[in-house]
Amino acid sequence: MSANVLEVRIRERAARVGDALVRILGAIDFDVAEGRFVSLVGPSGCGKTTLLRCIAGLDVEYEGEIRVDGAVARAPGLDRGVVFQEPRLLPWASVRSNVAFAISRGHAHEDVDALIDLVGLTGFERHRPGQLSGGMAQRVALARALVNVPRILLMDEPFAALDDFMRTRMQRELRRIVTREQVATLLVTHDIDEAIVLSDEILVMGTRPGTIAERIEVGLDHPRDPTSPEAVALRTQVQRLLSVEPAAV
Amino acid sequence: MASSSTIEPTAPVGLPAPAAPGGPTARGARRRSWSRRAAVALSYVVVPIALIVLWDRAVANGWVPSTLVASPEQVVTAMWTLLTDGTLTRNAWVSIQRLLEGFALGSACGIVVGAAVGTSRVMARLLEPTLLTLLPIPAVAWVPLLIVLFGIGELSKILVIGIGSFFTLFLYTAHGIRSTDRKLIEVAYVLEKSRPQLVWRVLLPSALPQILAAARIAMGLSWALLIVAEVVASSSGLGWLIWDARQFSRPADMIVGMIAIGVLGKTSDWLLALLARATTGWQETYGSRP
Repeated sequence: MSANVLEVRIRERAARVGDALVRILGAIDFDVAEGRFVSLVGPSGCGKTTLLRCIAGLDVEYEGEIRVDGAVARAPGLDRGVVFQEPRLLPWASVRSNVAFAISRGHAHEDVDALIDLVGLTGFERHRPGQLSGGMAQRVALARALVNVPRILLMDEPFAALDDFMRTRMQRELRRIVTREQVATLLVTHDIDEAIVLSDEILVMGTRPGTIAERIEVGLDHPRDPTSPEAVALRTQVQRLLSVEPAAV
Repeated sequence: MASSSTIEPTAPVGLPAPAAPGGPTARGARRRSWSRRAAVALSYVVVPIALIVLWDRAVANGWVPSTLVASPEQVVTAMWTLLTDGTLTRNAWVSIQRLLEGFALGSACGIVVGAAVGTSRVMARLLEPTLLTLLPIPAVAWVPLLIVLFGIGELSKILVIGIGSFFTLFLYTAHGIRSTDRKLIEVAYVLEKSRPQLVWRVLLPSALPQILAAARIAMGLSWALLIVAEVVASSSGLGWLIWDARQFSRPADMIVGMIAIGVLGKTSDWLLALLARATTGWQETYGSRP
């Protein structure tokens, strides 16, 4: 068992809404070991984005402690690479400039072009975000998140806005890239199949307040087929936990 | 973006191909092009021609007194005279210098102060209430005070233009920076960008379209302020030329001066518009449609 890259020990994240105090997150306790791919699955409004923002250091209004490589992380840091739901690229800058923008001296990949190649965008270095499709823009965001060689990649439903075909393709590429970069990954998603195809471990979240209802180890070999009997059984299990009716296959 | 990349080929991914040449619409477009080009050319000149005809008729038919208002013909003759004896170019050059000095000084200060107020809460608290109180005072209203302080020399003319440009650029720069997408600021935050990097790489580029729009407004205002300053206290420049022509009853020269201001003003705006298009082509707005 390798060392933990991420240790989350949140007691509570509450927010004042009018006069009421709403608990967005309850007690949340999990680790991500080096090189592991962990998915957070839950319905909309379960607090999974809030949880990811806490880990990214963008939300610090929680009680508890989050550690990256053993050090308390209550602010953003280059040890965490963040991919948001939207690409969030600088619209005036080229693909290369957008990736290069992330470079922090001492941390960074020396070769921006190699990273652009890794995400399959060679030949598009001089294009601006407005000239890219949604999938391509999200690849740029992925390259940008990898520039400073983070210890863990935090992704917030990065493929939610893509069509089915593109999503499947991006999932395969993400798996290839994180395996090659040997970076631990925490993926927030509401797409159960996405979590099954990609993850070593799935954390199923319960709602109001958000908690980890169940953790499921996914022991299947890659590449995975979401229609295989094992995958379907897993999906049924997750769906039961989320109390949604299993869909007909 | 027809047939954009829902199905993308294996990496590298393809952009949508441009429409095939020689397609069914190409021939029709070629046939239309001649008459279309003529119509486009005509649409640029139809209003000026109509105005000149109207002006000519107004003078010829005595709708306006011909002793006080020159006819287009007289203006063309006067323009030729003023151009050949150097009067027009000399005064235009003096005016352009005053304008550019005042505009550059005021704009530079406006961008710096606007950026400071837009990026720093402390600076906003320190400066914004005062500046927003001074803002509604028309720059023209500063002229008497400037003359009292600095006399009728070059400095007071440059300063009045500078004041007009300053407030325009200040207001738009601060607003442009404040309208930056918060999501981009979060990106800079997770990438541990320093404050100067945030300002230079995110906030100012994001505010640039507004800054350039402000520069065009300030340029137009600068011409107006320049002429007022030259009319009030000067013995050179296009404003003086117009005023001198009125006082010594040279109605054609008066209009020559006006036309010179119009042409130079349009040119300065066109140059700024070119600059805006070259630097903010990334914007996906109604105005930037092809």
